[in-house]
Amino acid sequence: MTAIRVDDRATWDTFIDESPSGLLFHKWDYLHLTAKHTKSTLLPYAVYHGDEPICVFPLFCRRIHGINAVFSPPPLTVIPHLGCVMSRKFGEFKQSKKESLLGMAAKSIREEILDLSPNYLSIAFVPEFNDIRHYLWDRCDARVRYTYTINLERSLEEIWSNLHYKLRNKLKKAAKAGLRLEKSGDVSTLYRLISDRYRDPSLDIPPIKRDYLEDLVHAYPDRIGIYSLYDAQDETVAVVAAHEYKRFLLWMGTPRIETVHAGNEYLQWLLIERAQAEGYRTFENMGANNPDLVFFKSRFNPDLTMYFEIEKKDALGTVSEWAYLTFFKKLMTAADRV
Amino acid sequence: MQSRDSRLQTPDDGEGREGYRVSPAAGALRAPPWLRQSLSIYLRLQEVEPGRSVPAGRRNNSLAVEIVADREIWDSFIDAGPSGLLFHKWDFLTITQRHTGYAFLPYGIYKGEELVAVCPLFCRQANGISVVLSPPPMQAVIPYLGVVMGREYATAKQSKKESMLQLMADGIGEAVRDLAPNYLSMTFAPGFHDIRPFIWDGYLTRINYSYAIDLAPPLETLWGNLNAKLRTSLRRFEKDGYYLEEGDSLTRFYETVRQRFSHPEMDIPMITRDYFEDIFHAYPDHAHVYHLYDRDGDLKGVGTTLEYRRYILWVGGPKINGTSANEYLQWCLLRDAKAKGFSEFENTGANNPNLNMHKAKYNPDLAIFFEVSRKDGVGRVAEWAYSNIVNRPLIKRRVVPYIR
Repeated sequence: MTAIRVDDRATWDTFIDESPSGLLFHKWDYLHLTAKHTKSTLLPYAVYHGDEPICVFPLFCRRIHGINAVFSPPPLTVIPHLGCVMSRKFGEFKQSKKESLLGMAAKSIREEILDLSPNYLSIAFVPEFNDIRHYLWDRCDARVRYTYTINLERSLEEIWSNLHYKLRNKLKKAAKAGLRLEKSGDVSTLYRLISDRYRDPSLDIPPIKRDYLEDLVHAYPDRIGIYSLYDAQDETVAVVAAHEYKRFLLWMGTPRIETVHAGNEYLQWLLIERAQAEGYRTFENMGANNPDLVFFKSRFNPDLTMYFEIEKKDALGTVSEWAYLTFFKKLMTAADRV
Repeated sequence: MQSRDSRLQTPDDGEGREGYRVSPAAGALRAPPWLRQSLSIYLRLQEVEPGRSVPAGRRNNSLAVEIVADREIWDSFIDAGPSGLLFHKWDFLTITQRHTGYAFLPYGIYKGEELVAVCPLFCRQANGISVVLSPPPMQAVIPYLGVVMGREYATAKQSKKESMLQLMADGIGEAVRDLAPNYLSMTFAPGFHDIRPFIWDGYLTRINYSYAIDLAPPLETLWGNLNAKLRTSLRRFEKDGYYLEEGDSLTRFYETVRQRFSHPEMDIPMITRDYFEDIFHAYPDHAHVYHLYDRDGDLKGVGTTLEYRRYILWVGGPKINGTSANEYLQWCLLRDAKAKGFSEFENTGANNPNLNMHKAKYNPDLAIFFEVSRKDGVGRVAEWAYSNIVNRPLIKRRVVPYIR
């Protein structure tokens, strides 16, 4: 079993389209735009078992001030999970076959990574990829992370009745206020609200670059939607960006806008309704790792879904990570470079 | 719902065994010396008076963490919820206390009058280092322990679940603050996945795996799901007349395992036989030992199970005479679990790269469980010393009294 660099967009995207766990983040153009805006090199590997690809694994590498870093995804890209995507056929195998293929795939990728001699390695896997034992046995550090998902394969009435009763009351009130939902590809309001909020130094979170966001929306106009909620006076009440590919992913939201309406709650409910009507099976709402957000998000009675991150660093990688978190990120944010 | 009013009425394990004893009615307090002060403070805080265990002023408080010193209350809680295991039962814990020398602290977390979670902690202070563990170090004989949430948790909506979890974590945090350990580690059972309150509180986390087989499908499906080579091997044992019998003594199990584990190439210390004897004596309906014989009646395999809520393939024997009869033993036990109506068969060992390929042949699902830990500088040094010095088999046998 060998890892081969893929250079054909159609082969890659077909694999992602057919796989159960591939996300929009994994698509060819998305990865290349991410490489361009993070100034990293994309290494789109496929691992073959015979003639058949059993997984694809996008890696990004970047040399920063003498430090070799390998990521999937790169930092500051608002990509929650990336890493490998297993084929549809893999899911049908028995556990023993799965484990032997996973072992061989991990070995192939490890050899490629070793060739890159990284001081720092970081991978965040998709929620469906839960067997990270080969990375643990390879002495990587691992963390569990969480996201919220709502199963849409139920009637809307059932989803509604599962909401927290206080949330239902808010939504009923908002429904009577004549709020209007619009979908567009215009990122200006979303970007302005996000960057205003994240400019708060206490948050320590730089916003996504505007050019990057615009390129992504331009590349995937049917898959990335900017949803805005307006009141009767055409004032913006809430704005979010969503990925609409396999699952409906509530991707980036703005902080609460000071209005009399429960804008964020109502917008989220309208999107749940929309996703369910359009036949999506899962609605994902990121934010379960943030203790400031979970109180709001858990009121939709989502399921808690785990995903895993692994990390490995040598002494140089450890120092550079510390320096990055302590100085570089703050300087870059202050200079509006990220 | 468990009431707090009676929680201190039965102070020990019901059999007068050693350990601490909290008897508010008599005002008696027996505890390991280092723990006496904590318990004494605890009782003062509770303002326990004879005949009244809960100060009226605290009954409506949203959070209270207290020692549940009543075996019946503890075991009823474990029996009532969906996630408690035999490891969490009172006698299992008190037996473990007795053999390990760790003090067992059966914490209950209450919301008002309602017991919402329990967490058995084991504490020890030696050479100025205070350690709090759940489970205590038992050579993987207790693979996980930690928190058990109440019955209501499983069916609650997510927002309610999260508030219950936060309450539990706050309660444990309060207990841990009083104990002030240098090293704290809790390993939760598979299924307890939401450890965010601990992550947010700065705990380190570790990810572990186990194997679980869903026994809901018919036996034919379970058989069909096995690896093809394994099925061929199992047919051979069946044809050769191998048969399973439940044993009434631990002698052959213990000797087989001890002899094999003491071989120089393995050199794995064993928990003392007395420990297993006590567990089997305490739980004759739930802890079992099985022997696999060939047609001539020669022993070919041996294993133990814990049969409570889920069927756990517990401590297994090594290969006897180099045969792969253990594969057949495991299939026989899987059939036994199915016949007895268990919904899940658990086979620990998925963390071990030397075992996983063998165990995966039964087509199990992966089950994930988490360890959370925190340590100060002293705890880090103690952890290093334990891992690099004490954990060597030769030294471990000399310094750990419950290991041979």
